[in-house]
Amino acid sequence: MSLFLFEFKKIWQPKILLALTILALIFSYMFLSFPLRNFPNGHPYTEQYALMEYWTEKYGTTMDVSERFDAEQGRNDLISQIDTFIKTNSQFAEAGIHSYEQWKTVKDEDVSSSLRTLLYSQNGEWLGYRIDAIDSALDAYDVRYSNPHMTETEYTNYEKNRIDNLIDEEKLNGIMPYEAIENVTEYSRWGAVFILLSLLILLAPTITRDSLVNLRQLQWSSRCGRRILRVQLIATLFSTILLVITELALLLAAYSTLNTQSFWKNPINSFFYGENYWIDMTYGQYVLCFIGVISLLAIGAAGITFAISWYSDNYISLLFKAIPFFVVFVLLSNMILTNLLCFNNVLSKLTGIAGTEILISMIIFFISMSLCSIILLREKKRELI
Amino acid sequence: MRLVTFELKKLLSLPMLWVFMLLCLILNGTIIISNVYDTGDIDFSKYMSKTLTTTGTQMGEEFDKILTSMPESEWRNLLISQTSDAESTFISTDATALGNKIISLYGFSGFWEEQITNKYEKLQVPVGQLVESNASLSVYFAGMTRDFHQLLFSSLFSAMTTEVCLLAVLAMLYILGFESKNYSEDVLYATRSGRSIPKNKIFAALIIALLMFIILFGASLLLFFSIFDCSGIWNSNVSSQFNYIQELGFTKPFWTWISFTVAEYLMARLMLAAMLVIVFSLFAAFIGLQCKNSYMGFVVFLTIAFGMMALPQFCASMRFWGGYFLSEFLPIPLWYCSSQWLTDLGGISLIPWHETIALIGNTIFFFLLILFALRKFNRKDII
Repeated sequence: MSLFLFEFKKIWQPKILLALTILALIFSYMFLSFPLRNFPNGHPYTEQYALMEYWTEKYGTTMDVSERFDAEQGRNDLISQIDTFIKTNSQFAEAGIHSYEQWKTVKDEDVSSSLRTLLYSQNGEWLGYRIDAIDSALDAYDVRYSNPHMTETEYTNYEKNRIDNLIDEEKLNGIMPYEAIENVTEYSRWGAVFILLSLLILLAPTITRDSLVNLRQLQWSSRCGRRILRVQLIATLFSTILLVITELALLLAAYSTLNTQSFWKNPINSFFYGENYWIDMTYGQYVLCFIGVISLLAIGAAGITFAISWYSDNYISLLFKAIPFFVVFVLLSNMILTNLLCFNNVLSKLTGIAGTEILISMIIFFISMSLCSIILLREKKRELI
Repeated sequence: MRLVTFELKKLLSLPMLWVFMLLCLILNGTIIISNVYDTGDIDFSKYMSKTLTTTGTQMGEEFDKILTSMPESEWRNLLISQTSDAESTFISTDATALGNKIISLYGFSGFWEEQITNKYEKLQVPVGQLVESNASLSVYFAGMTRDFHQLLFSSLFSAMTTEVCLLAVLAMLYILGFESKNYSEDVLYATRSGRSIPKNKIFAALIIALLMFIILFGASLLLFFSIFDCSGIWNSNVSSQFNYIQELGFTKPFWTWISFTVAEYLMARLMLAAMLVIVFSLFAAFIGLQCKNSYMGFVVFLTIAFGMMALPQFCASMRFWGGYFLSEFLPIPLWYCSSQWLTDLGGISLIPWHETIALIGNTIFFFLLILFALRKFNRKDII
């Protein structure tokens, strides 16, 4: 145990931790703060998000046909509100327009666009965007089993089967805003990049440092002997888990301020969000899926970093290996996390196999662990001099 | 000089340096091939280069006449559709209007608004010359110009510059941390050459940085030009009407501070990139002189680099425009805007030739900083 603690201490160097903290602050400011500060990002996403939030509160996680007609009533109420706004506005009166229906029939583009500005402005309480949000959501609901993305001809057999399953079992009733999924994806992508960067910075120098100060031979001649590398690997993996948990906790804590938890139990296969997923999941389960994949990738990256560190005899050689590894891993994690478990995931599209991205994450994990096991075995057989 | 040779040997015998360079070349090759694969651009470039030797690089009646008399082909028809009846015009010819657009987009006011207006008034002079010389009628690569220019001067140049800068930083940190790593520091500083050794190390690392620059840029550009036949476009003006810049959602002409042909622009960009490599190398040398541990040196470099990248964004969000414009002179923001070098640089610069002045300034600044650091190092106690 004491050996483990020594190795653990070697990893958590105060200077590196200080640098990591500064990097975390800068990185958060540059990349992670955008999805936090700009959510929902402008119009019409703000109105669409608010509508979905309202419908979730009123109808629950899904919308059935009777609720759709109730929502129609909500639309009528909003039109009454728009009519009141139009009647009380002098510019509409000058143009001879007294109702929303009348405004929609205006043919003159100049008049139409100047009045449109009024309706789609803050003074107009964004009424234009609000009615558009309801209309687009109700339209999407009505065509949810027949719209183009369900009947595209380029689908593979797997995809066609899944679509048939979604149609047969009527699974496209979920109330889910587009922005919630897009935002969590972007946040996860940047989060994964930072977790990977911090893991590399923290873990990479440990084993190389032992080699640099000729500590290996000394360690081998101790009572613990060559088992020391196993302890170092355990300390590395333990540190990885600790760092990943801490960073994920901080990331989630920051993200929870957006209150997207209101959609936690809503299915992501929704009539409004136009992507199809391979699995029936709720938004909450989807977020947990991101956490799982990022953790898997992080442990995989930690194992490979351990191997890189073991194979490097000086810091610069280590960095020459770590930089390309970081670039490749960032590209890969981006491909995995973008449209995760969705038809449109690049990796799934490439292989034509559902959930390829999860499979690749697991392969990375197993390659990394196998690499570490090979190193442990080789260390036992290695000559002292 | 003998000491520099020894240091050079140390650097050149680092196997990972060459492996890293090979990986960079593979990456550059991937960038080129993935952008041209199955696009027909290569065939079009070959056709254009062959044709332009006959037609010349200036569009107009004569150009149209010669082109129409050439043998019928798919590429000829495409070129005719893109160039026939071309008029001498840019998207706009009013630099002041462009300045006003930039001002309203960024929200500059008062003193900063005046400075930006001044810059665009100065830009009106070269714009007038470009209009007079019919630069907009330069054919460059016709409809393929924007894609070609982006691939070469944005994607490929950015990748190559980043790679060589990284190589330069790592080489510098390696050589400055070498003695500490081998526990030879104390013995070395007690020799006759003693404290002058870091000076030789810095010189050697600078030579290596430039050597890497020549090899990496040379090999990548050789591959690029062996794929794209550019023999006919070297004399085309880079400010052709087919070339443009997109900034904050609007399109502006590719106006440079003086008239550049493609060949001149390539040379100018190469020289500026080499200067940036020297700046990064000197920047790493300063860190290397402070940190004995090369890994910590790199972590410090990375942290400062991230800080430099965030600074303009932070100052702009606070509407602290003085800090914003000053921070745009730092090496990382300069690297970040490299695809627009030698143009007006929109809302990120206050003066003409921003990147050239900033790079010269940075080189002098870091050179002086190193002199100061070496002086400090000479007086430092070994124990």
